[in-house]
Amino acid sequence: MVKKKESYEDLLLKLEDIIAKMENGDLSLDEAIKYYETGMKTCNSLYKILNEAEGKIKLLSNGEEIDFDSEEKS
Amino acid sequence: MYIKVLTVSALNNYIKKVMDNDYILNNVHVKGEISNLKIHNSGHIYFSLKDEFGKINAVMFKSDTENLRFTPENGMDVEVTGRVSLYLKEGSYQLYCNKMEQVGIGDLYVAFLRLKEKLEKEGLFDENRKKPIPPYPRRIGVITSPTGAAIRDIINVSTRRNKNCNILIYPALVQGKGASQEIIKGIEYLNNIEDIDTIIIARGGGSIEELWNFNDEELAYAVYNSKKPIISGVGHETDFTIIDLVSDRRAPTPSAAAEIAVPSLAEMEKRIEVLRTLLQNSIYNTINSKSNALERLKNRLKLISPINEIVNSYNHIDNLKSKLYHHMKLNLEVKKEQLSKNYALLAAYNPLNILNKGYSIIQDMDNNVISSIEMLKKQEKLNILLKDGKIEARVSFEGE
Repeated sequence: MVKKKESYEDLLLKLEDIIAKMENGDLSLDEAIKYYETGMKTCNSLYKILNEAEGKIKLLSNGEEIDFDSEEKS
Repeated sequence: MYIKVLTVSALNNYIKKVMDNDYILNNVHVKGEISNLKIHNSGHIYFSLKDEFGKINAVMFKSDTENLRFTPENGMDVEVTGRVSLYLKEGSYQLYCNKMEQVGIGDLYVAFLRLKEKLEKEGLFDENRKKPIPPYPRRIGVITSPTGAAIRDIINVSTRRNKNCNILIYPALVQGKGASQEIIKGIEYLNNIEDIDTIIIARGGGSIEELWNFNDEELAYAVYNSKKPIISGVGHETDFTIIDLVSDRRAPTPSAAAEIAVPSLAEMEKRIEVLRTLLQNSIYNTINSKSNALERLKNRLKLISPINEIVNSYNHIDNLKSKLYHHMKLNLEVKKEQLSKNYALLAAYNPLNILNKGYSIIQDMDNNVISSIEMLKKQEKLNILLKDGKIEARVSFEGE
């Protein structure tokens, strides 16, 4: 079964949740370090999503997506 | 034939009287397009009404403008009610308006209100059924004309906020016959594309006729039934259409729609940075507090350490030792004193003391005291003890 890719929003919520647990919970050192590692991984995933977005502007043309050049059209 | 010479004002007064007595001129309905509009500081409105072939100057006094349901603009087609009279100072006639209606607006406006009421009753505008706009959409679908100003505004604002944002444009007519059908198809199409998270329906500003497609009942249902949230960015600030009421979020302009749909990359990065700092602080605090707890345990352990027992024992031993020494010293001194007393006593009784007084003791060679002549006669040699020593002597007897 392929796990559904977590959305940016899900990851952000996860990160906030981890921090809340670390700040409020009376964690053992092992748990705290585990949370910290997961948190840092989540940070990196978030950065990755931001930077890997392609920034592509497409126009639907006869059922196909083609590059849209606003300068040309204007 | 003699013609009386009139003054200018007398002539103007006469013309005015003729005009004012004309029952048609006294109450006219005139249709035309507004031009040369000037809204004076006093509140009076001066303008011309024109059609293809002519124009007439017109004025509307402040007291009458209060009943206006719209702000007149150049180019507007209007129907006015009023009277025509002469302006004495200029000798010009003008139309004094007391009512003004926008031509055409009446029917469309009534239809708009009727549809609005109907859809409102059906719950299409209920706030609690509106879908939230995703804060971090993967891709945004835009239904608009690919050649209009709206799409350029949207692309400009979107890429300024996030250079990496993804957009899919669904090209559609946004005015004229069939526009609402194309927009409906766009909504259906974009609803079937998995990674589209938000849909924008956009069009630049225009007259009520130009925006009329956005007041379409079928389009309203399509927006209502869309599974993906829809932002409407139709017209300018003041233009309100049915789609604005039924959409999940109304943006006053296409640019504002992009502003709502596209999160700012800088803000997103800042948020992650803040969270990362919090994460680091909290692991630091955790380790710190664990290490403090350890330090406290260490201190407690120190307090109960056997080293203290040992130190105490040392002290005890030292005490005993010094007591021992003290007693020993005391004891020794007592003995010493006793000894010296005895010595003195002994010295006092020493028989040799008499030697000091000039006496001597005679002993045989075995150190036996010779105390009688009888004993002496048996000796050949003897020892004499004097105060400064012992001397050996030979015995010879005289008179024998």
